[in-house]
This record gives sequence, structure tokens and C-alpha cells, in this order.
Amino acid sequence: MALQSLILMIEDEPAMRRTLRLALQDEGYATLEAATAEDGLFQASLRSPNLVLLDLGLPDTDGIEVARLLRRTHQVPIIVISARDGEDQQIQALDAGANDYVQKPFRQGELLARVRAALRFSRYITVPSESFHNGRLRIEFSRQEVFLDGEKVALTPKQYKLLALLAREPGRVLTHQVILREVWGATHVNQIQYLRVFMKQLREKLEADPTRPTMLATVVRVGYRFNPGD
Amino acid sequence: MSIESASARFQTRELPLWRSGPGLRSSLTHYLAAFPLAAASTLISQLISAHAQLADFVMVYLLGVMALAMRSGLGPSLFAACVSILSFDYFFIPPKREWAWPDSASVLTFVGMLIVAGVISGLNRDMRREREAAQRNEAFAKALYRFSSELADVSSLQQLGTFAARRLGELLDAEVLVAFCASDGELDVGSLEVGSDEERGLALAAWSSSERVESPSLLGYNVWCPLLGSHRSVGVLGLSLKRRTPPQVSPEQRELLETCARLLAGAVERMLLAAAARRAELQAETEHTRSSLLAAVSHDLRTPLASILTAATTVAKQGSQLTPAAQHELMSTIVDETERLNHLVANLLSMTKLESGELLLKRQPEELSELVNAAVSALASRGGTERIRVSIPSDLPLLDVDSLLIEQTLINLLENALRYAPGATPIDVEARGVDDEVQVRVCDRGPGILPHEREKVFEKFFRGSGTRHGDGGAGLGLTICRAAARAHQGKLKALERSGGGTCMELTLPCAATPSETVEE
Repeated sequence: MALQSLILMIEDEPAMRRTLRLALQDEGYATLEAATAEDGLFQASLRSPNLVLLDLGLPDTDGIEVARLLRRTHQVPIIVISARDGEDQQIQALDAGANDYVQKPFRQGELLARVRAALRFSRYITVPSESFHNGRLRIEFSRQEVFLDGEKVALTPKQYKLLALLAREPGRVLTHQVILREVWGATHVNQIQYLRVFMKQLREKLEADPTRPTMLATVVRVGYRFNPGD
Repeated sequence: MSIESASARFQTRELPLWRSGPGLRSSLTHYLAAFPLAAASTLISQLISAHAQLADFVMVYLLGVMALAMRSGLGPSLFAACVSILSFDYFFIPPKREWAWPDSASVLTFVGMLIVAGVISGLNRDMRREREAAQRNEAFAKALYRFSSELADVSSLQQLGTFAARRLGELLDAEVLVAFCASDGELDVGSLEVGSDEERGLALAAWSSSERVESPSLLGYNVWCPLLGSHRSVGVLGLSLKRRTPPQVSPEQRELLETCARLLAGAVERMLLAAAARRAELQAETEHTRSSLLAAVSHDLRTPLASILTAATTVAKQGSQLTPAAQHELMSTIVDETERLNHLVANLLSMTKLESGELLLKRQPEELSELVNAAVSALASRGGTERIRVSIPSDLPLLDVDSLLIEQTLINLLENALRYAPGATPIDVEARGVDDEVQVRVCDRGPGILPHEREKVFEKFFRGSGTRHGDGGAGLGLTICRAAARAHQGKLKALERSGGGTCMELTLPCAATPSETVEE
């Protein structure tokens, strides 16, 4: 078996920490715990975890600031845990560098799926990949070509840019703002309708059932996520 | 403390009520009229002199003096009498055409003529005064009537202030400022729109002493009248007479001012009372809603909590003694009931927000199919989502909605359909564009909703007669859905589905289509 992944939980509620610890250890992960942002940042620099679970409602520092600091100093995927109705915070945390988020209350399966996905693609944070491929889809980033079931898919430059942006970091939630800025430029960050139209076109070209997309997933209110599949 | 009404000032126009009488206007002409009058009397007397005697001439002169006395005051009348006497003496008393000291009979005539002139002009003056007083009273009554009847049409305190300032300004030929007390009963003189602190002091003095205060020497608003309600002053009324010379109010104006102030105070009090009554009513209604909400919520919260607590304590205490099947069952109970609780809390939060108007919609262009997919995924853990069949045309326009709210609406609609439609029957989600709106239908093959309950299902805590207690519904879902639809200026209706079942029809606004080309 490969080396155990080390997961750091920064969470101030003891009950939640205990439950998370049990759930994660049961899945074979090693865990570290911190109740404050200060301790969390300290442990992160000391132990270099493979993943950080970060609660946004910490007593000492704003969770978004913690995400920003973590991202600046460590190339570690961050999954933010936030309260319901905290969409603005989630979006800010994602823009600050978090990869993904789960809303409290969440189911164990939901959290573990996010953790697995984030760990699997954590290497993309440091090493930009030359290509991506799963069973059906292959993307050659260097040649800007996309193949579906071995056949080349004709994409317009914007469609390709959108797909590549999402696929370069599989599993990571990209906010509308980030996508619009990267693909259309800073003057278009509020033109969400562009994004909707292009996402629809992409799904029609790439998804087996465009009405029930599996790869190009919607994160309501927040943005989009590329699910690599298995 | 704040002034509850804006004050307003208006300039005056013409005022029929207070114009000074015609008397002074031309007293000189009245005096001068004595000469043509005497000349005319002399001429007439000359014409009839062949047939008449001295006494007849006296009558002619007397008639002339009377005619003038009817129209002028005492001075011109006596003057005319004197001129007539001199003319009569000169032309008719022998020796003619010569001034002569009259004899005793003539003196009597002269004195009589003076007395007649004096008495008639006096009578005439009284009559004129009475007539003027009557006219003034009529104008006064008319003004008051108009003021009070217009007052009845005013519906807000704000309007009342504006109206009173304008109308009184016209009536009293002054600039008028009206200020009402704040709801705490205090008068905020600081926010009065006046130029000086002296004026504020006068306003405060009038308000606190409940009496009219005047300071003629002061420029600006120098007359202040309290608006006396039945218990206390409800405001003040300030008058600025600077457009008038002399800057004073006449007794009639004073009377009108005070009467209007009383009327105004009555109107203010009525309005305050009506507002208080409305507030009380609203509060009672809120109380009622709150208590029924509390009753329903505490029941709906306690039921799953009780199940969870029982199941959890059982597992915690006797976990090792239980069979794996029993353990699993207890755990499933905990999971299911927690989901139910979670759902209920989410709905309660949304409803509170929607009702309090606290919720700011974050509208964005949204793809309906994305929202439906998100709703279906959210229900995945609940099971049965494979029954949901989505058919949304790919050219459906984008919606202009708050995604989270509409996602939750769709979750609630789908959950209802899953809950009430039996076994494996499909749930159909369809959509079509109608003008600049999109109609989304969530249709099931459930038992349907009785026609008379189709509106009631949207009421808070209403449970259709076909529903069972303990089936997990709290009677909040549809209430929230409708509130959410309305927050978007949309609609939500329950329709009968042909062939049995229910269709929930949600109408939502479309986003403007992208105008410029989005490629490159």
C-alpha cells in the first residue's frame, strides 16, 4: 500500500473533530488536528500534510485568510468546511486558493469523495500536466487537442480554453469570476451568460448525456468543477 | 427624536378674505362730489323755481345731501351739507345772489340738513359694516369648510403637513410652517426649517405652553400656534408675515388660525390613532403567526429529535449486545431522521428570510437544466431520484433568478412529488419558454390535490387531507416555493394533471439574451 496520506483538520468544534477523525482514519488516512488557525498554520509548516480540511468559522483568524496563507506557503490542496448560507465566504475561500468546499451538515460519503478527488489530483497543483485522460476523454494541453473515444473533437478556441482551464485542475471548483477572467478577460467578469452558453456547448460536445453531465459539473451559485471520473 | 412630517412653505397669492374696505380708497373724490351735487341741486331748483317755494328748494338740496350720505362717510356728508347750505343761501335766500346772514327759519333748515346728513351717513356706515362683517363671516366659514373637507382627504401625516402649510399660507397671506411631534411625543425643534434660534425658541414656547406665542419684532416665523390635541400638543404651526405691512395678524386671522390649528390637531390625532391601531393589529397578527409557527415547528423538530435520541442512546448503551441487523436499523433511523431535521431547518431558515424581506436575491443568468440537476443530486441520498425524468428543450432561454433559492424550490417540489406519488411512478420535469418567461412543470402521478385545496396547499403548515401525519412533511415546502417564486415576480400554481396526478407550474423570468457575440 502506498504511503498513508496525512490530513490536517483545522476545526474548533471538538465533536466535529472527533467525528472527522474517526471517518478519515477508518478510510486509512492519518490525521492531524488543530483547534485554532495559529496552531493549524504551525502544524501545516511542521508536518507538511497532503490535504487540509479548513473550517471557515475559526475563533482566532478569518478562515479565508488562513486559506490564503496556507496556499501561499504550501502546495497543499485545501477543502473548506463552511456553514450553510455561507456562499459568499465559500466563493472568497475558493478565490483565495481553496480547491473545494463542503457545507455543514454533510454526509460522510460526500466528504470522503471530495477528499479522495483532492488527493488524487494534488500533484497538479505543483506540476502542470501535459495531458489529461480518463476512459473517454483525452486532452493534449501542449497541442491544444481534445479527443473523445479516440476521435478528435472540434472545439472553438474559447471552448477549448474553458475546458482546459477546468481540466488542468481536476476536482477543483473554479468560481464564475475566475473562469470569466481567465477565458474572457477582466472586463467580462460579470457576463455569466457567456459562461452558461459555452458550458452548454461544451457539454453537448463532450458529455454522454448533456442534460445529466458527469464531467463538467455545476456548483450552484459558485462556479464549475471538472470531475475527472475514474 | 425626529420631526415626523416635512414642513412646507408656500407663498401667498390674492386673498379675498382680508382686503381692507373700500372707504379710504377715494375719500377725496367723496369730498369733491359735494360740488357737482350742490350745482345739480341748484340747477334743479332754478328749473322748478317758477312753480315752487323756498321749502321745495330745501327738499331738493336735502335729497342731494341724502343721496351722497348714502354712499360716503360722515365727513363728506357734512361737507356736502355745508356746500349745499351755502349754495342755497346764495341762490335762493333773499337777497338772492348775495351772501346774507340767514334768518332764524333758515338756520333751522340748515341745522336740519346737517343732522339729516349726519344721521344718514351714520346709518349707512353701520349698514356697510354689517354687510362687510357678513361677507367676512361667509368667507371665513367657506375657508374653514374647505379646509376641513380637504383635510379629510389627506391620508398621511406627510401629506397633512404639506397640505396644511399650503392651504393656511393661502388663507392667512403668510408663509406657514407645520411641524408634528415625533412618535415619542417630543418636538424636535432642531430640525425645524427656520432661520434663527429665536424662532426655534418661540416654537418650543408655543408647544410647551400650549398657547399662541407672538413676537412682532422678530423677522421670520414670529407667530407660533400649538396644535392642541385632546391630551397634548401634537405639533406647532409657525407663521411668517414678512410679506405684509404691518407684520401683524388681525383678530379675524387669529381666530381662523386657531380654528384651523384645532382642526389640524384633530386630524393629526386621528391619523396617529389609526396608525397605532394598525400597528397593534399587525402585532397581534404577527404574534398569532409566531405562536402557531412555534407550535408547529416545535412538534416537527421534536419528533425527529426524539427518534434520533432514542436510537442513538440505544446504540451507545447496548451497542455490543445488539444484533448487527438491529444496529443497522437504529443507525438508519438516526440518518433518516437527521436528514429530515436538516431539511426542515433549511426550509425554516429560508422561510424566515423570505418573510422578513431580509433576503437579497442574487440574480444571475442561470441554466434551468443545471439547477434541476443540482436539485436532483441533492435528493440523491433520499433515494427514488431515478424516477425523475427531465425534459428541458436545449434552446430554453437562460433564467434570471437566484440560483440557490430556485434550486431549493425545485428540491421542495421534487421532494413533494417523490413523497406523495406512489412507488415507481415517474416524476416529469418539463419546461417551455412563454414570452419572456419560462414555465417549469413538475408533474407526478400521485393522488392529486382536491380542487378546493389547490390554493390552501401554499398556506403555512397546511397539510392536504390526503397526506398522512409522520410522512416527513412539515407543511412548509410549498409555502417557501411560492414565496420564492413571488420574490422573483414569478408564479407557482397547483394544476390538475390530465390522467391523474398533480402538476406544479413554476413561472420564472428570463435573463436578457447576450447581445454581443461571445466568441473571440
